[in-house]
Amino acid sequence: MRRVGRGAWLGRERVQSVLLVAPAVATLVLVALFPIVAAIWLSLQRKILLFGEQSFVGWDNYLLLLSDTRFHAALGRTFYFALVSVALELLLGLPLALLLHRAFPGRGLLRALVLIPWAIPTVVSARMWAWLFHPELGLVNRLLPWLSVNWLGTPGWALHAAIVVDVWKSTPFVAILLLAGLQAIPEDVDRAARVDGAGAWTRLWRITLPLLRPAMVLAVLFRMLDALRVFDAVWVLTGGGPAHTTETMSIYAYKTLLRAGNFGYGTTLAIANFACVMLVAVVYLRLLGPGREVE
Amino acid sequence: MARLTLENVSKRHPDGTEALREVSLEVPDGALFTLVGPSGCGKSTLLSLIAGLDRPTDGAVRIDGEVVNALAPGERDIAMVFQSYALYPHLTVAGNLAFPLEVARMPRRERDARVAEVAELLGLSGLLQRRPSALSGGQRQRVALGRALVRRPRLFLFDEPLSNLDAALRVQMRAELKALHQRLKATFIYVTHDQVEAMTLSDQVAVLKAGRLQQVGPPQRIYDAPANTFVAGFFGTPPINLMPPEALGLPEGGEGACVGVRPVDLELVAPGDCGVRVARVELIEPLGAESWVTVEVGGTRMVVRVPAGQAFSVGEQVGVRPRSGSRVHRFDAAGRRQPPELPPD
Amino acid sequence: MRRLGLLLLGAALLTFLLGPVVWQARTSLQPEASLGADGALPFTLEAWRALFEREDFLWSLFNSIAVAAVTTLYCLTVGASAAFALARLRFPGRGLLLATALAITTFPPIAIVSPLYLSLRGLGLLDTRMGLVLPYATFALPLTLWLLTSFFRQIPLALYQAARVDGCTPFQAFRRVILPLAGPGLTTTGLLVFVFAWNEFLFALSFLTTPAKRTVPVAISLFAAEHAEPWAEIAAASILATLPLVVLTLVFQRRIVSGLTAGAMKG
Repeated sequence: MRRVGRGAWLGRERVQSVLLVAPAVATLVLVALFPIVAAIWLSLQRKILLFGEQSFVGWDNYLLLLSDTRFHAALGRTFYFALVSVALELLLGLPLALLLHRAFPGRGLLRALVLIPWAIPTVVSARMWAWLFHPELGLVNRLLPWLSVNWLGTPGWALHAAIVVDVWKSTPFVAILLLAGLQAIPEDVDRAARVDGAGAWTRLWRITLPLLRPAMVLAVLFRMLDALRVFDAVWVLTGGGPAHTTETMSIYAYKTLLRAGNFGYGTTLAIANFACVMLVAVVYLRLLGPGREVE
Repeated sequence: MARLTLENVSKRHPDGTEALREVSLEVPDGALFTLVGPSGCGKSTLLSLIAGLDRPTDGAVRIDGEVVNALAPGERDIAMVFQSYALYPHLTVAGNLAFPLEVARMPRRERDARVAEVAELLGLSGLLQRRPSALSGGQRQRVALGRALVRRPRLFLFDEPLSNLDAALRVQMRAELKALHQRLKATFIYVTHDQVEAMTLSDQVAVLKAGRLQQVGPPQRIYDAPANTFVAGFFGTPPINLMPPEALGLPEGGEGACVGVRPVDLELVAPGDCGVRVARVELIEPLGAESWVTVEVGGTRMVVRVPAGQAFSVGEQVGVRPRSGSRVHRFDAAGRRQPPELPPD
Repeated sequence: MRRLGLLLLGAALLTFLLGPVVWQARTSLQPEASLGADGALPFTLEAWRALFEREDFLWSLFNSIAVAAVTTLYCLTVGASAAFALARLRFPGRGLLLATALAITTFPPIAIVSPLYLSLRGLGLLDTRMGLVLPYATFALPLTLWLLTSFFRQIPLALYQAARVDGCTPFQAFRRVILPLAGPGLTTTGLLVFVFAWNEFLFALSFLTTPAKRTVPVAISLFAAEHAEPWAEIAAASILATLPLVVLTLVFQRRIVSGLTAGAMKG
């Protein structure tokens, strides 16, 4: 059974790879890249849908950002939101991960239950918490009657309520990432430390946490990138109110885009949001030094 | 049945490492040809090039005189047995055996006949409906072999097929492979790091080190006349004793030269006997039919294979000398063999 | 002693994470009128009955299932073939594709809402469910590629090589050997894509206007607009909206965890 075919095998492999990849590439280019480029183009224009107005204004929109105090406020707020959320998620996620790491009966069930907040649509969880935060009927105020705050209606508190929602939803995700990191630590290392006489707290601080660092770094990075772009939860919870006190960058952009119909500047705001995210990612990765492989 | 020729084949990896440097060799039709060497020497890379799973950076691979560099693996009419067997987990044994024939669109009846034939030959007939996960290591190995046989290719490639088996099974499979080769009279290219396999199985051996060919020839010649210290040291257990000539009282051979004497070619006698060097026994490793005794002479250590009759104790003074009629290998400073072999006196 | 501490901690965290859900379920079973009252309360299904009379909401469940299912199917099909090529074959632009896919996930959806809105309007796909599938698939595709590539890499290279030596072209090897073994990877990825599509809010909010076509997240968010905050009903709607996902999560918990970690830890 002799088959002596002709055909540069590298060439054939290339052709087939291109065919296999083509649909994915086409989708990405047409439905993602194209709009992204269009968005960048839009951001350089003054386009108001309602009036049918459209003109090229170059950098004007971006210059407007510099003097837009509403934008600055949104920027600060978004960073505050992201930093506090992520910190809390790490603080809560770590003990949860440690707990899930131990073998005990029902661990699988616990893991599944813990994932539920992650699985629930953000919008639904926002509604859930809106109910919990209800000033008269909500559980929070009923459990803490001496506090009795109008959580979603008071300028200072609303943003923190939003933070609670985000932490509630994302802690499981962080816990799972950390759990994976824990599982990657060889058992023998901990055993050796015990033989060396290290107590549980010492082992945690000086062995487990340092070895968990890559997972923590990754978790923080992912969460930061997401938290800076937060929209769903806050929008449904407060709609950006009261009095813009929970208006994140994305909400400001959304309102400008689809409420005011100001497509040009709205897109500029959104891209500014993106720029922040990119900046944080770059700074973060740079700070960690080379050897960080994010394929 | 096919002839394989490699002409100045080189392979450089994208990251710059040179896996193979200008390897040229000729495998005659019907030979069992072994590529042997330590890990990292490039033997598996070479096999990949022959198989068509990778492309040489330079040089040509010819099968029956025809350059096959540009042909896909499936087009070269070769079969390969992988170290991990690479059995298709989702297919039964019968499915695995039939797979290459299905790809080639062989008619069902012919296909079934071939599968039955090969299964019979390898003793797999009762296992045809099992999945690979339900097979033992030896059985999996046979299925891998069967998948190769079923195609009746002109060239068989083996990538360390026995290294995943336990010692006893390995010995048994080795004999079976040799018998299979004699029966099929096909060309086998065999890769291993185990010098015992290389010695026992091959018609010819090619020794590789760091991507370069060190020596090619029948196993006995490689053993009797190693081309350099590396080859000398690679074959034979325990390894050949390499030492400066003075250690055994042999004539000097130039700057940096050394001699090699195999443990079996040395004998231990009374310290006073003629032609000996006085040595001190350091270590005794009994093996039943013989013992390996490590002795020390003036700073040089050597291992001697001693028959069961002789007994020694650590610290004892003995006389060591090459056996009469045995071979002393001479190597220059670069490790290369120097032709004239001085007969021991 | 330490075990007790850990147990308490676990209980506290669990209460925090699951409490709201349990409370929501409890609320959905209370009569609207007695919502703020203390003490033991009657159980009633009136909120649920009212919910099932809301045709729009029930439609939204169907819409979500349809859109999520189609998105998942599309992503798996397109993504699997691309991921295989990315994992095992050599072709120009391989690194670029992965990097671009990664970059796309970081882009805020809000920025491309307007171009997409205009494109969809131009194509007449605005306010259609299928018009939603394309943007969804596009944003789920990088995740799909990422996960499936890492799963394909875990399938031993020797199997692909054996198939090639046995005479398969790369595509045949993919179809006959690799794909049958990719079941777990495809399931995991499919689950994550489904969850993503189900939960997506912004595009669904912006591109669908007819109430009957809305997906669940949008329907829930706009619930109160019609009445004065029927909290019990909203609670019931929340539970119903979440049920499919919760069931999926409980059943496929292990897969989801491995998917999340594989994607994050870069196979």
